[in-house]
Amino acid sequence: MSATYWSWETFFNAFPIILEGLKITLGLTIASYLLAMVAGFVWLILESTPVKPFNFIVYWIKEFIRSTPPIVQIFFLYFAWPMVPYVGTSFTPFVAAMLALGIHFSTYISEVYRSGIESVDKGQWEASTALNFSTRDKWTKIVLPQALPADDTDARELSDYTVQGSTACSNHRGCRHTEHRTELWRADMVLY
Amino acid sequence: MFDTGVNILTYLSQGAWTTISIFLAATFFSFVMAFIAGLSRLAKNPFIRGFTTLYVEIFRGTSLIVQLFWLYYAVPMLFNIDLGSNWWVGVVAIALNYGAYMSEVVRSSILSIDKGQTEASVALNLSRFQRMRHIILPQALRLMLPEFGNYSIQILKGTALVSLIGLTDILYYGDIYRSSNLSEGPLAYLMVLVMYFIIALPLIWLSKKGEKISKRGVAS
Repeated sequence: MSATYWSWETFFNAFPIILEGLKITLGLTIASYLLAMVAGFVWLILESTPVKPFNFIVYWIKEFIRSTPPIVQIFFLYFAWPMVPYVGTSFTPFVAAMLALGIHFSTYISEVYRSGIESVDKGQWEASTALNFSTRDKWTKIVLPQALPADDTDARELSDYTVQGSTACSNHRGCRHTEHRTELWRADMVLY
Repeated sequence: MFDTGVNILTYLSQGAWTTISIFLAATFFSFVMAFIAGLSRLAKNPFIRGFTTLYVEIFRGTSLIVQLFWLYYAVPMLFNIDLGSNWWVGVVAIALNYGAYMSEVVRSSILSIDKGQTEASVALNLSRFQRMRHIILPQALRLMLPEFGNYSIQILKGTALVSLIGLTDILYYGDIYRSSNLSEGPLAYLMVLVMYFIIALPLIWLSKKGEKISKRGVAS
C-alpha cells in the first residue's frame, strides 16, 4: 500500500466543521474551569469542619472522584443520571460534561488551594491573632491575599488538564463525525 | 440491589485484565519515556534538546484521546505503520502522552538539586555520567516519587479511553451492560467507577508512601 491518504483538499474542507467543535471545546473548558474553581473552595470548607467522621467521608468521596476516570463520570451523568430513582431529569451533553469535568478537577484545584494556604507562614496567623483580627478578616485580609498568588504555577498545570479533559469529551460528542481523523489532530493544534 | 451490584462487578471483571495490563505496560513505558525525554532535555546538544522539547510540547499540548485516534486511524494510513494490535496502540499512545508529562517531573527534580552538589562532584573529578548516576539522580529520584504516584493514577484514568478504540476494558463492558439493561444504568456506571477506584487504591497508598519518603529528612 503505497498511497497515502493525506489530501490538502479534505484538510481545508474539514476546517469549518472543526471550528464548530472548537466553540464547544472552548466554552466547555471555560465553564468547567470556573465551576472547578468554585467547587474547589467548597471542598476546602467541607474538609475544614471539625466533625471527624464527616471529614473522613468527605476525604474518601474526594479521593474517589479524583482517582476514577472523568470519561466514566461524564457517561454516568449523561446516560445514567436520568435513570436514578426519583431524579428523572436529564442533562444536555454540554451540562453533563461541564458538571463532570468541573467536579472532577475541583478535587485537584482544592489541593492547590490547600497547599497555597499552607504555604502561608504560621507567623502570619499568629500575628493576625495578636492584632485581634476576626476569623473572617484573617482569611480575607491576611491569608488569602498571600495564598492566591502561590496558586499560579499549579493552576497553569491544572488548566492544562482541564483543557485535555474537555477536548476529550467534546471531540467525542461534537467533532466525532469529521471526515478524516487526521484533521482532529489539526484541530487541537489550532486550539493551543 | 446488592445482588445486581455484585452481578455487574463480576460481569465487568471480564475487562479488568485488559485495563490492568494496559495500565502496567503503559506505566512501564511512560517511565522509560520520562527518563529518556527528561534527561535529553538537559543534554548539551541543542538538536537533542530541541527535538525533545518539540515532542514534550506536542504530546502535552494535545489531548490523549486525539492521540489515540491519530495513532489508531491516521498513522497506519499515512505512514503505513502497523503497531500490530489495538492493545499496543493504546499502550503506545498512553505511554507517549504521560511520558511527556512525566519527563517534566524528571527534569524539574534534577534541576532542583542544589548546584553545590554538581560543583562538588566536579571538584572530585567525576565524569558527567558518574555525576548524574551517583550524585544527582539518587537525590532527584526521591523528589520525583510523589509526582510519579499521582501520574500513575492519571495513567489508570487514561486507560478508560482505550474502550473508544475498541478494546474490551472495564468501561467497554460497562457500556455493553448498560445498553442491555437500561434501567440499571446508574448502578452499572457506579460499579465501573468502583472498579477503577479499587484498582487505584494501591496506587493512592503508594503515592502517600512516596510523599512520606520524599519528605523524610528534609527541613521544611
